[in-house]
Amino acid sequence: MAVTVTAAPTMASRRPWPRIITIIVLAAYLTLAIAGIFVQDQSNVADVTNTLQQPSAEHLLGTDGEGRDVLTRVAVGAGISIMLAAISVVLGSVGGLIVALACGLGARWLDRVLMAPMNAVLAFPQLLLTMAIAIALGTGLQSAVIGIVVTIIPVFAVTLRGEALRSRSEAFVEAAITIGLPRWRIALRHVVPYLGTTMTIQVAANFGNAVITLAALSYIGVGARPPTAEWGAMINDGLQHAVSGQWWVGVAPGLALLGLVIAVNILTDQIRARRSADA
Amino acid sequence: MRLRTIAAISAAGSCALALTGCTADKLGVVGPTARVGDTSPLQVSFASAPASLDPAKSCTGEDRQLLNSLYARLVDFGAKRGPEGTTQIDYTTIMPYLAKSWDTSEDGKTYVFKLQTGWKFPSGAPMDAEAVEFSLERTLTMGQCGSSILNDLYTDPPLIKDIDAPDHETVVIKLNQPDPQVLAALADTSGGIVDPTLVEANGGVKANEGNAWMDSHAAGGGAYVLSSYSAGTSAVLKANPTYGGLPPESEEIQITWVTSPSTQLLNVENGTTDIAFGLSGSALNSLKSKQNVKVVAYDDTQSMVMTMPNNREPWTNRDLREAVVKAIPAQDIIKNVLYGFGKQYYGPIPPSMPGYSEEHGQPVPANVEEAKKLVDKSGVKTPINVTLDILAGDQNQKALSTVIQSALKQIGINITVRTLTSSAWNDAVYNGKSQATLRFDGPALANAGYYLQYDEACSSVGTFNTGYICVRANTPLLDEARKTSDEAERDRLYAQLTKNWVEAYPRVTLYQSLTPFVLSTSVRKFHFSSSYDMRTWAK
Amino acid sequence: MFRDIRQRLAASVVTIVLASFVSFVVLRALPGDPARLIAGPLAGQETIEATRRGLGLDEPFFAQYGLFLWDFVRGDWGYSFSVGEQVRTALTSRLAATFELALYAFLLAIVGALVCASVASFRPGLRRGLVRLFALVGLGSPPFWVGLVLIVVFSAQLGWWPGPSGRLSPQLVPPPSVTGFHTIDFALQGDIIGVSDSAAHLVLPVLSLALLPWAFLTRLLTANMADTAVQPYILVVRSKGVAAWPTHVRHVLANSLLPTVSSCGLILATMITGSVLVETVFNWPGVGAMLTEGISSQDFALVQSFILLSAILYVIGNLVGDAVNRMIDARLRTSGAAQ
Repeated sequence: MAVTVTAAPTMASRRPWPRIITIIVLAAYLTLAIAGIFVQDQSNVADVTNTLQQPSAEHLLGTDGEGRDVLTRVAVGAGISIMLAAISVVLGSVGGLIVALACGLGARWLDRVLMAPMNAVLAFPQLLLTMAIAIALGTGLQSAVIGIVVTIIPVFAVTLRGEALRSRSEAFVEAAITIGLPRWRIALRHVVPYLGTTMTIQVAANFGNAVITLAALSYIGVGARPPTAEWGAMINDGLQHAVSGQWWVGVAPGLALLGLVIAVNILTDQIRARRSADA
Repeated sequence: MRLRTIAAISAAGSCALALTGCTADKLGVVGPTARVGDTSPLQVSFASAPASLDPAKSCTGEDRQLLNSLYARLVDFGAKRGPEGTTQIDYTTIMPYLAKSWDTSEDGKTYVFKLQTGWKFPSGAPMDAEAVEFSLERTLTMGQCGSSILNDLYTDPPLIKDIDAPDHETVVIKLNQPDPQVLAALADTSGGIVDPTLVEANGGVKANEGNAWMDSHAAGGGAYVLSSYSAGTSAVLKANPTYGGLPPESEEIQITWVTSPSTQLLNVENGTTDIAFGLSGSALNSLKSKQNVKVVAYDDTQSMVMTMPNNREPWTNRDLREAVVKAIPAQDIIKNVLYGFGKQYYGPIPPSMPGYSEEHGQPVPANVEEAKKLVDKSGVKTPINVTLDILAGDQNQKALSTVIQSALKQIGINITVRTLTSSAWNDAVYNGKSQATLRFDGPALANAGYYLQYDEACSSVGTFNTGYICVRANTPLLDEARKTSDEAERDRLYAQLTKNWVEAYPRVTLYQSLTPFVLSTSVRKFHFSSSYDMRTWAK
Repeated sequence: MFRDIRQRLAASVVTIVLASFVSFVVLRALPGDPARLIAGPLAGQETIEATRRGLGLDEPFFAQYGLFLWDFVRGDWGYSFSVGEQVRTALTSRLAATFELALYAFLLAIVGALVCASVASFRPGLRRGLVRLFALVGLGSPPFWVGLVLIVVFSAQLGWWPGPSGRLSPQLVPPPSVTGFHTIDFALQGDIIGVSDSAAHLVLPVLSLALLPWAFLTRLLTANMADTAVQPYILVVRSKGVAAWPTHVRHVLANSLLPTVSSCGLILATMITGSVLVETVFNWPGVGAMLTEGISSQDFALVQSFILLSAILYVIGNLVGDAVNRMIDARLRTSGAAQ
């Protein structure tokens, strides 16, 4: 789903404890992800004599259809999701920033030429385009990340372009233009810091979306290759066992994903709230 | 009837529609509401749908699903007794169908068929020798899968030289070389007889091209007519009143294609599907304890293999190939991943096919220690990196690839699994770009000659022979076996061929499928064939 | 004002053409050879060549693209080999199912958001906390996973609603198609069983699809209502003696609807494509499953037409949202103010 949450105003609370809990939860996810690195090899080892075991002391979240421990795979999946979502968002934001600066500070024709493809990409059903790109580049997490980056660059570009245009009428930019500083220096020295907060909010807000999109691609089968322990792929595995009673295979990775996205979204709200308090 | 409707309506009213989930089941509706009272149609569900209903195409198992019910052929396969009171196809006997008898010339190159008289298509056009000639020539001209099958994979020159209709009741087929298997080819779905008037009215015949109209319409005069068809979703077959043969057992068959495995399972469990095909092993396993259905498995000619293209590194090394075969626990896979719906063997010919050698086609037991020694002996430096291609969306291949990955890791082979969409998979596998592939298929014609020509012949390397398997000593054996009509001689040749093949360890043969059908207990007649002939299906 | 509209329309057309071009390029970059797939593994070289000609794949790239656009405008959307039908027939016969799902989900999201936001912004307390929690969970849940959980809980465990069994219980015959919506078509027939059965089949997929936009709109609306509630004119209304809740609904809510209304067009368009994920979970016979199969088998004609249709839908959604905005808010009507 491509409903971007970027435009949504915040509902954040003013009390401090949500922030503390959020940070604890995010720290826990990072720990889980790091633990996942150490059990990575184990997470893919099939054990055909031990398939679809219920959650027990030995396997806290049970085993899946190939006899692999679900908790181990959820931990490995945490690392994959966090790292790849971060990479996508960073690449997307940098790309968007460059486009926005060129549009906001460059010539009028440059703005038009650059914004046309941005709007064209935005006119796509996001999931469909990401999917097509991922398949075109060959199934795999790398292609999925590229697909996500292509679709979030315009999101950043459009928001940041507006801010960049606004910055042009700010006194410090006008002054810099008047004294004839080169445009790229104005962009780096004056406009980028001006865009900083908006960027941070956008990064945080898109991180959650990137996690979900990544899982969606793997769920459809164009993201992670088996047997990679990616959450979306695991949910897909779980689907065929949902009706016959082995619910843990699909529910566990989804819960992990949900927790991560909620924590990041609360954090985003916190940053937003602080900014509106500053303003 | 009245009472039931009133009861249903009041029940519907009282549970406030959707909010309490008043499905038809809960309201006590069991049959289709439109036709309560008549005999209800037979409900059949398949997991994947055909891309075409044209007998001239019939490339995949899916494409064959409806063809034998919609189209008559010159000859047919026989039937033998199957498990649980059902029957199954007998590939070794050929029975009359539209042809009531036939004669073979001394040199085995001319076949003369005498046809039944008075058979007609639903349009009123006669189903005579001219129609047969038109149909077979159409299939050959179009150059799709059907033409390769009718030619029994002989390409240069093609098997069929000439088809002729000297009078309304006689068809003469001349061959370029003797081939007793041509009868099996004519009994295949590719030999379906089409109504020339309908075909000519809807696009006609073009050389080397498909006919889009025929993909979604039927132009046959078989036991059933296609009363409605929604591609990929549903089809309704109704008994053809003008059919010349024995009338089919069911008046009406409703077919649905259900892509979601869990949906298919649910429909079977609640009794809304009578006959289901395509459920996963774990789903079938959960059905074994159910009272209202039985799971019946048939010896099929389909096999799951892992190709190791013999011309590519590291597979040029015979010892390494043997190590791989011995490292994979096929027995455990059949038991725990397939829930028993597979049969272990090793060799070029699966046990269900005439020509299988009991002596040389036995399974190779898994032995990791020996496999490790073989890797050492092979001299190939470990770790070896191999990319294994599987089909996206195939749960079975996904599970198998995981198991294979774990197994081969023990002997120093690192497998990277590459999931390919169907288009990319075809490209990789049939254009020789794959390093290793999981492939589940079987021959269109269930005879060893066709299958080996397809899969193991040196002359097919790079076209159909995707494993690049070429055991030189087998070439004369295969040529001889394909031409002979002496069965004992043929079996001897195939046994020798199997022996040579096994010594080369050219691929991993994981299992032969025991194809499971789910039948509700109300089904009283069922006949299994890999082309899903529904004429005798009934409840 | 008319100049403004003309400009916007021109921009929309450019966007649609660009979108079609991008999809055209991306699909042709996909690995694999569709001619090989259609002709089948047994096909000879001549057949593959003929198939390629038949698909127009031997034409120069831009000629192919031009032909595709021209045919699309004329209503000839080509032939889908993966389905074995004309693309237009294949798409239109399945779109009704997707539309039914998406429209009900859209209604649920709107009504649900109105209720949740009104409750949440009325007074601080437990209810506000609950709505906030709901919005957070809703925004974090991938729709396909929600579908899975709903099936596990409400279908497999409790048995309240049917699980992944499509639009209708298999023993029922679909109603003659008037609107294409089973619920409405059954109602027109006076078939209560049919209405109830198809409605029951809608419950879980609609919930899965609605959750995300529901949460999104709830957030949006709550925030806008909180802003409106502190405006002086609300205080004026209250001081006239209007009770708190009626003021809240009639004045605060009514004056906060603008952003919600203008985002509706886009949300509806998103839902139609987003249903790809939900349809596969519930075996819903919409365009979703057909489309994933089409991408996988490189069915150019099918996928292109769908992408182009969705792009058009998106652009229309945007334009409608804009138009509604202008109708409601007089300040936006002067030209140039749209910036």
